[in-house]
Formats: sequence, C-alpha cells, structure tokens
Amino acid sequence: MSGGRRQPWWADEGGAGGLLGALAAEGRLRAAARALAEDELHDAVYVDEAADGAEAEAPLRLAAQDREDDLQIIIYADGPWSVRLSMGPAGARLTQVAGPPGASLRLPRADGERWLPLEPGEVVEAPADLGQPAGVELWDAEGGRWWLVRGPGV
Amino acid sequence: MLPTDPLPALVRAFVDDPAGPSGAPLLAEVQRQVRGVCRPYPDAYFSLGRKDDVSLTDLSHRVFTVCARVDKGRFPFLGRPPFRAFAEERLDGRAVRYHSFYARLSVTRELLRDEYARNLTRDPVLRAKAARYAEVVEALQAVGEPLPRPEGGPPRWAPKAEGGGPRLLRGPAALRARLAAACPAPVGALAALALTEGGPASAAQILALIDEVQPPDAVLAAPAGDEGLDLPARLTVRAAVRGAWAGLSDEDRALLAAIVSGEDYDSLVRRDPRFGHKSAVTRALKRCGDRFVGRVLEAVGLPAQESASPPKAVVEAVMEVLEELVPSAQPQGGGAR
Repeated sequence: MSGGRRQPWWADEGGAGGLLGALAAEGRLRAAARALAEDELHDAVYVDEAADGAEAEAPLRLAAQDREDDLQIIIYADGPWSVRLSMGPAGARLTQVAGPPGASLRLPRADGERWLPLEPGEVVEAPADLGQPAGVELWDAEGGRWWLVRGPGV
Repeated sequence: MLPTDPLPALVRAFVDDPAGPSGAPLLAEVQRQVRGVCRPYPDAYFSLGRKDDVSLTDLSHRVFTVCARVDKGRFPFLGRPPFRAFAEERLDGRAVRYHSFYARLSVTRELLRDEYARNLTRDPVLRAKAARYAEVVEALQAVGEPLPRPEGGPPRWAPKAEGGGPRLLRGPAALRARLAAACPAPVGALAALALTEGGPASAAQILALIDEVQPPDAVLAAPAGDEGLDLPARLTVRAAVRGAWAGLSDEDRALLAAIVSGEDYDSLVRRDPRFGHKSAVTRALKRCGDRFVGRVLEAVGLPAQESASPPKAVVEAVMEVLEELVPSAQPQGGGAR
C-alpha cells in the first residue's frame, strides 16, 4: 500500500488531470481504511469468542430448572430507585441497580415483617417466600417511603 | 426434560422452506444474537457512524441475508450460504452461533469490519486515523517485513533481519516510554522506532501505541455544504462513469482499477506484466485521461481548466460507481470469503 504522503507512482507519468489524482488519493485512503479495519478484525478488537449468547439468553431449560419462574428477572422501580429481583436455581436475589445508598426494603411476612438493607450494586439474598410481588416497599435513608412497581420481566 | 436449543431446527426448517413460518423466529434470533455481539462496539462500526436501534436492525437484516443467500468460500461454508452449510453439516447451536456471530471471523464481525472501513473514509476524524495508518504501513514497509500469515491470523510485521545476532527488544512499558521520549515526531518515524525496538506487531497495534503517546491533532468536522451531490447529479455521474468505463480497453481498466484500489506500482507489475514498461503506463494514463476523465468531467459540467481540484462530492460520487465496477476496491464481508 502506498503511504499517505508519498508521491504516487503514476504522478511522474504525465498525470491525467485533477480528477484522476483525486481518485488515486481517495483510493489510497480507502485501501488504508480497508487494511486498518482488517487489521483490527484480526487483532480481535472488541472480540470475546468465548461469549455465546446461548447460556445467558437462549430459551434453554434444564430438567432441574424446569419451573416457570426459573431464570427470570423482574425490575421494580419508582422515582430514582430501581431494584432487580433475579430468580434462578440458586434462589432469589435482590440487587439495587439505581438510587442512593442507605435504602432498605420492607417485606411483609406471615409472621410480621422483615427489613432488608440494600447497597447499590450489591446482591442480597431474598426471602425464600418472597415470590413475585406486584410491588415492593422501599424506605430511603431519610425515612421516606417509596412503592416500587413491578416492570416487565426479562 | 432434556436441554434443547431451538436454533439448529430453525435453521434447518428455514433452509427446507425459506418462505415458511420459521423465517420470522430465525430472524428474531439473529437480531438477538447480533445485539449481543455488538455490545462492546462503538459508533464507528455502524451505519452512518451511529449505534442505535435502526443501525442494529439494519445490521441484523444484513447478517440474515448473508447467511441465507450469499455463498461463502471459507471453512465451514465451502461455497455454500452459511444457513445451508449449517443444515447440511448438522452443526449444533453453539457452532451455528460461533460462525454466524461470535467468532473473530464470523459473518457478523466481517460486516462490522466493512461498515467500519466505510466510516473510516466518511468521518473526518476517522479519515485522519486511516491516513495515519497509511503512514505507519509505509514506515513498516521501509524498516520491516511482513511475517508469514497463518490462515485467519493477524497480519504482523517484524524488523528486517540485520545479521547482527540477537536483538534486544523493549517490553511494552519501556517501549511506550521510549516513544514518548521521542515525541513530537512524525508518525512514520515513531512507527519505525516502535517496530525496530518493540519487535513484531501489527500495524494497527503500532498505530494504537503511537496514538497513546502522541494523540492525533484535533480534526474539525466536515465543512458545511460538503454533504454530497443531490440525486439527479449522482445519477448523471453514475451514467457518465459507467459509459466511460464501457469505452475503456481491458488494459486501461486494469490501470484505472489499480489507481482507485490504492495499489502500488510493484504490485501492479507483479500482477499484470503489461505495465512492466513505464511507457505502457504513460500511454494508458493518457487514454484514461482522454476517454474516462474527460468524459466524466464533461457530463458533470466541469470544464477541463477548472478541474484541477474537482469537488470532493464529485470525487466521492465517481468513486462510489468505480467501487462497484472494480472488485478489488470493494469490501468483502458480504462476498464470497
């Protein structure tokens, strides 16, 4: 490939006008662009070949996981708050994905209530009998009460 | 219940009956996988330099079309459209996803590469990057030699052997410091230094290193009014270029193709001995000037005396047609590789 600033090989042959010269310059640049894109393809920029959408996303079901609520994610949200409930074979887990620190969930139970402190980004075990409620009650650090409504499942 | 993967069955059903009901769910699956593969890629890899729903959907449809319709030559396709190859070889879902989406040389990544190559010539900032890359390659040609490239392996350069025994090479951190100490310097000089003191690398890796120690100058956006020709003008250019191309001899077409493909003279002579003598080049250039350039300029209404610097929009419109006529000037992702 010719370099960007090197005199083109046909220039001392009498040339053929400005358009031909401009086409040659554009041709050299496009060849460089193709080569750069090819180089980066082979250098595997942005590539993780081990990633395979099957495990995370394909609608696979194993016998041991064959329940309607397996591998399901539900987002509860209101105002600045967003909490993710993920249900899999290992049980249910809650993660605060948005909102400031210092919040807690108040979960009603047959024998009273349970308070579950949250930390942004941290996973906490959900009570086994939580199920998939239509909403969850969140109390912020200032004592304000929020009702987080269930969004679409993923 | 045994684990099941619906993808192979969807592919087989689609190959058996392309107009049947499996097309829609297969396209939906392709869209889902393409979105997964594309997560780390920036805007530069998508149509019009924008990564959004429209460009992702467009890419998904092109992946589907290539997989369904385009014969691909390399393994495992061996001259068949990918979906047909998957069905005939009874590949499992993981292999189908690997070759279609996730492999380094998958159908999806080849199309991403082609869009990136196009954006490298459209976007002013990316054009500057391509020009710097050309300078790097020119420097590497002077001080290095390309290493034998395994099938599918990255193209790499090594310093020319000097016969002086073992060579001491710097590690990445020491090389970065050495380059930084040499700045400011021309890109080519830094590339030569990086290769001779850092050892084998690809040109893209060396460019990335140079960009790190000596960031490129700020590049301004394209000036206003440089948006390209309107449709009637583009149609006029297309007709003129196709007509002028049809009037060229095979020899003249070969020369013009070499010029617009950015091919160097040595490569042209190796490939086509008709140009081994410089007078042959001179004659062919004159014919190209008379029969091609003159005719195109006349069609777009540019008098010869005003055509020393033809508008960028005209050059791009002519180039667009020539890329269709000259296979070596085309990107390859949708083709038979």
